[in-house]
Amino acid sequence: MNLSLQDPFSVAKEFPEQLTNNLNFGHSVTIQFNYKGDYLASGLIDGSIVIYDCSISNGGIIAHLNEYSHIRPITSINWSKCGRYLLTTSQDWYVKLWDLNKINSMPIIRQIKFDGPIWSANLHPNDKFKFVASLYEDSPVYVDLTNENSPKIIKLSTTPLELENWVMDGEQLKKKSKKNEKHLTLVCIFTKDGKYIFTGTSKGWLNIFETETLKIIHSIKISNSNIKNLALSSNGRKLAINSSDRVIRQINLSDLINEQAINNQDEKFDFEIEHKYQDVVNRLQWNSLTFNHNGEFLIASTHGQSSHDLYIWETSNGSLIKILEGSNEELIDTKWNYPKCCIGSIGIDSGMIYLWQIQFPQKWSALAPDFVEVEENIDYIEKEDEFDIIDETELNKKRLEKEEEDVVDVITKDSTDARGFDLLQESFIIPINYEVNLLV
Amino acid sequence: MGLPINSSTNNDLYKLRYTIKENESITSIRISPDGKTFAISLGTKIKIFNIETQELITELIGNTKGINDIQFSPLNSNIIASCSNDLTIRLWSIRDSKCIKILKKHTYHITTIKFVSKGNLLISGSADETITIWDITSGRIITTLAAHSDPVSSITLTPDNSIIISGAYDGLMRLFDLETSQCLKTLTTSTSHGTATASTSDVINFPISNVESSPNGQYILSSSLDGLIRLWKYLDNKVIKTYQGVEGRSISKKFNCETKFIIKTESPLIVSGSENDGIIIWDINTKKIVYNYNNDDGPVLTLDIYNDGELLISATKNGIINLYDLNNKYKI
Repeated sequence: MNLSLQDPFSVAKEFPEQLTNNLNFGHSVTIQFNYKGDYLASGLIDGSIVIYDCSISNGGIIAHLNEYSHIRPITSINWSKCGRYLLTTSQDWYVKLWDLNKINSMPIIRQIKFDGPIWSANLHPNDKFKFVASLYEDSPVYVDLTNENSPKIIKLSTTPLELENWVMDGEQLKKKSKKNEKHLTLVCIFTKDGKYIFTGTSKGWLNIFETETLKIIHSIKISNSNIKNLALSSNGRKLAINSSDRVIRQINLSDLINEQAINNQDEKFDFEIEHKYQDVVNRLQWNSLTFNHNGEFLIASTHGQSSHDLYIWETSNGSLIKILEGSNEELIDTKWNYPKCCIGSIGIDSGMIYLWQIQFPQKWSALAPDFVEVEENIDYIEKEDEFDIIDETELNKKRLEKEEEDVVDVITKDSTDARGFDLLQESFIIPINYEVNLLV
Repeated sequence: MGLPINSSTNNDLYKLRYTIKENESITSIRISPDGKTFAISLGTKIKIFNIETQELITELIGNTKGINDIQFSPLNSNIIASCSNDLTIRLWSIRDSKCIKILKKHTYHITTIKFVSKGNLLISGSADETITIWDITSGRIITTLAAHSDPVSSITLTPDNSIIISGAYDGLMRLFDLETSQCLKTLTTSTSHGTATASTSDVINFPISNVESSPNGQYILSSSLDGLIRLWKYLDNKVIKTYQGVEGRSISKKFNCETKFIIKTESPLIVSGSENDGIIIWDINTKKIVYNYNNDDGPVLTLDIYNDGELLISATKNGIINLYDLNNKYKI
């Protein structure tokens, strides 16, 4: 509701331009906003997790989860859609699923230990018990934790479809498979409806699995070096691939949600690289990337001590439109809070979370109801009846009579806010432990 | 005992379930979010009662001067906050009958407090003319709003918690953005006929005694000490309904009487306490009084509802607590 009273030009801005705040409770290494955009979870270097309130710009702290938490740096955080569950992964070999409703008692409802650190995990969009994870020096896994006592863990292949066929075809290609031993999957994500899994490998392959069968249905060679990150826009139609060859490639996907229209498997994954984003002058690598809410903008943080910026590109024509500055250190993880139109990123040295937010100008006329703001000087022409003395009681009587006609609806709420986001979406409210005193 | 005002009055709209008598004036009464208990503040004490059995559960003692307002945490019926003339805000655990936190900063009587619906922030209004936003988990002050030029009497939040609405004795209502702390709008009844030429002595603003946001957040109900209640459509800076007391009398000219919206009935209603006429309920659209309960119990300063108006509880300056049930035949 506040937005409808703010300056409409500022509300209509599509991305923030100014560094406005920073959050510095502990040394953060990864962050994630929840779907509604009202909480921010920050994973710390000591393995604990901090949850901030996004309803105020300088971030009140809701909770610090340090009991039962990880003991090594957090590597990724996922929120469930309802906002009640958190999936966290860490270098301590554990993946944990938190029920935030039990934040003050025993919040871990599932946990699983692997044979090494976990690069990252991605939660199934519609099932909090299912996730895919990429592991350090190991095959990626699909995990189903629905049954508390016997988790299902299924290893996924890294070998691209074409190469696999060759291996089966003839003996002489065995050599090739040996070479493939060092081929590792570095990142895996679900599509927005959870039907497919995209994985990126150390040799630049993008593998696509069908979630139901967990079989590779398509593979495509994207680059010659590591695929470090994959980012899907929230409508599921744009995929950005960050590779260590310093290029971010953007692929336009076919409509995977309404896929009846496409019968042919090959047609479905007939990719073309739409845009390549790179800084050819500074030859920068990219640390992380994320889309905005409608996929019109892509943002990436730069690698290396020389540059401390976030680059924003327009995805329709591939042009760089803004470089966000303000931090004085290299930025790692970057996330976009869609409803609040806020970008968060972490400084690598200090572990501080920097927030770029849209700033609204203070309207001075808001302070005095009988003042009006004018753009430039105007010659004021007095109205004919402006200084007439009118009997107040008469005026009031007239006004009261007019009131009868208005019909007031005090119940029906607006369904969207001034930016077009759904306001009626229910999201979980995290309980507060009133008896602790978090020291800031 | 509901007095029919005119033939169309539903004098059976609410039924009195019970009455409890206290010896001191009650400044604030609240039903807990789980609907099992209610709390009253009187003098320097808070008393918690079981709503079914009327049994006293506990007393919370610790404030050194009178308590002006109490609020349950919206998430946890075991936590209640109080604000007092001793310049403190205290957070209490009801189960342990213990004060768990004391927030200090205001320099004069603290008149009103509100929790945001996430329960992590507390907003306080004070006679020192400021509004303060507190982060409860850290005890930190998020910001102080230099809000008014007279004591702040009442604050309310829109249901999406994005706007703080404050009313004060300077006769102004201000809307603040919770996220940025900016003032978004100022509302006042006085008209200086569109120009800023009127000197302050020309303009008489009656003190605002209470503000309440509509359930959808698009309207504000303001009570002022000229004895009227007004419904504002704040986007248009406009009063769209004015409500008068029984037989056109003033509702309250001396005391801050609280108001609430009742949306459990077919047509939405508003309820207010009054100085001389007990509790009054109006139909929002027709502005007619549809229910009035007056047992000469003294000014009804405070009231609360539960479940959109299914239960109504009121307390008076003379220490009388009344609990009413909404008649089933009017429920939707």
